[in-house]
Amino acid sequence: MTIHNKIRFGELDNPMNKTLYSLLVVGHFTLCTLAMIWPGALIANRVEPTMLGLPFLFAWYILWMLVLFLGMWAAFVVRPAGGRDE
Amino acid sequence: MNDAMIVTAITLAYLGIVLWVGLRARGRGGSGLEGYVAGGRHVGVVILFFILGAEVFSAFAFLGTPGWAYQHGAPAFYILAYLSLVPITIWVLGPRVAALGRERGYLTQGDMLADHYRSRPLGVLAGIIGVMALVPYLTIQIAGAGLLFQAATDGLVPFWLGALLAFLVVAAYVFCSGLSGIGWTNLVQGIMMIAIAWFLGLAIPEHLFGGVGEMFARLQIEAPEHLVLPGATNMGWGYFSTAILVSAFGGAMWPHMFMKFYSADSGRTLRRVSVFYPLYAYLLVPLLFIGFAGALVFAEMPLKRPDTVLLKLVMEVAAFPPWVVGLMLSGALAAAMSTGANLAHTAAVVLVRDVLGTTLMRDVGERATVAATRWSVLALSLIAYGLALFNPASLVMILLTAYGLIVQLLPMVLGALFFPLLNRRSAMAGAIAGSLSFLLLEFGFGSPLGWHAGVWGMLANLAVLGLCQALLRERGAARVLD
Repeated sequence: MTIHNKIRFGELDNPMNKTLYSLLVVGHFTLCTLAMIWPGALIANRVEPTMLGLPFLFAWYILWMLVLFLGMWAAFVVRPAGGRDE
Repeated sequence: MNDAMIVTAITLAYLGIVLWVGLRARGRGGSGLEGYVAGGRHVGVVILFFILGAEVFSAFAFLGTPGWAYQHGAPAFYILAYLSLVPITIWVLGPRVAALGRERGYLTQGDMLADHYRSRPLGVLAGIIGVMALVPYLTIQIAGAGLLFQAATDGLVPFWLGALLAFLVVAAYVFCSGLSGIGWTNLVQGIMMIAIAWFLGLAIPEHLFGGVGEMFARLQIEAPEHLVLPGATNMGWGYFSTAILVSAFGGAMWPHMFMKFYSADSGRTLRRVSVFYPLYAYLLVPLLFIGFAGALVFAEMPLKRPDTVLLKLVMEVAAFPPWVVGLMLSGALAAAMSTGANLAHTAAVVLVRDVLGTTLMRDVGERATVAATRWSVLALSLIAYGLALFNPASLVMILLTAYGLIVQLLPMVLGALFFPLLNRRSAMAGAIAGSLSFLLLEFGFGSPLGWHAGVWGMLANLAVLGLCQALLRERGAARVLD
């Protein structure tokens, strides 16, 4: 079975409640935005500890870019019930 | 054969390849207007990714990102933040815009606004704002290409000739192939830019300091203020945060973004692209390394123009062989040209369809409209080239202004997509109030709290919009007027 079929199978078998889906997506977007501006970035505003040689604030942005991507990817794969964006 | 000639030869060869790829794509999207403008609405995910991505990698990103990291330090992370937040707007608006476009045959932002609000002047207004914002943006790309050529060839190719060469290539393939030409060349240019950016970003710290980690360790000792906010130039949290918000949520209001929404073959394709969009920000990370390297190298004698930090490091400090300089120039030119192609194409379509099409050229057939669009590509590129010859430095200022203005279209667009009760008079009054207060703060009084003036413009916009909406409803006239 191809990956595509598995995704479609999951979608038909177990569609996510639409309100819950929207809440999760909005929550994810809000969290990622606030993490990158004031006040979220305030708690990461330091050099130590360095991560892979990068200052902590730099690494913080690198990390949240990944979190944003992973969350959006999950939202893309798990579609809401009755989705109409096709 | 001296170094400057090797650099020039490599770059000319690259321009030749781009021109060949662009012209070869001719005719793939069908011959009608819809084919020329929106790729026949069947542009798949890979090509759409590179078309959208090419807008990210402009000459400004390639030279300005290291420039910011060098000059300001940590506030340059603003670029990472806003780029990775842009897809939120694409995710939310994109599928709806694409569906409406397919259903009603929209090709531009003005089409949608004029039709939804049943107001032709509103479409013309959006068109004029769009063209006025796009031409300076295009000028920066042309000026960037000229500066790059001049610096990398030691003046063998002067500013005017370098700018002319790069944009003749762009105008030629956009003129002949429309959006298909842009898609295929951006595939080539995107790969080129990414490879060059990563090579330089890793090679320069390695060459000068023995590695990226070692470079940051030295920065922590010698210039620690570069590594945390508010950075070396004491940029406030307020400006940093509001600049991210205005850029991230206003970015999708640019007409060229909007038109790419229409070209997607489905809303699903747009969402797939927006999922991968945060990854574009990763591509800029090595350009930040270059800027931080410059902060150490040029600590004693600061550069007059921070935007030249990448060029100075490659040409004077790291002393790479000429073929590397040639490839770097090609990569940076790729950035300028791919963005320029998109901008020229969009400005021409908006000018002909939204501004001329509803006024002077109302009864003109489709064939003449396509022809007018093509000639507008040439005319607008030429105007931008003329502006570039005058004064490239002050244009960054014009672009920032254009940005603050284009954001004022956001409430109007959101209204058309999600709030059917929004009245056209409220929308128009809000946009005008927002634009005027933005201009007043930007050029007159200065922005309160040191925030980005676009935010205050947006607040004025929303306040007036809400007030008008309430007044109209009170008079019971809201529905009658519509």
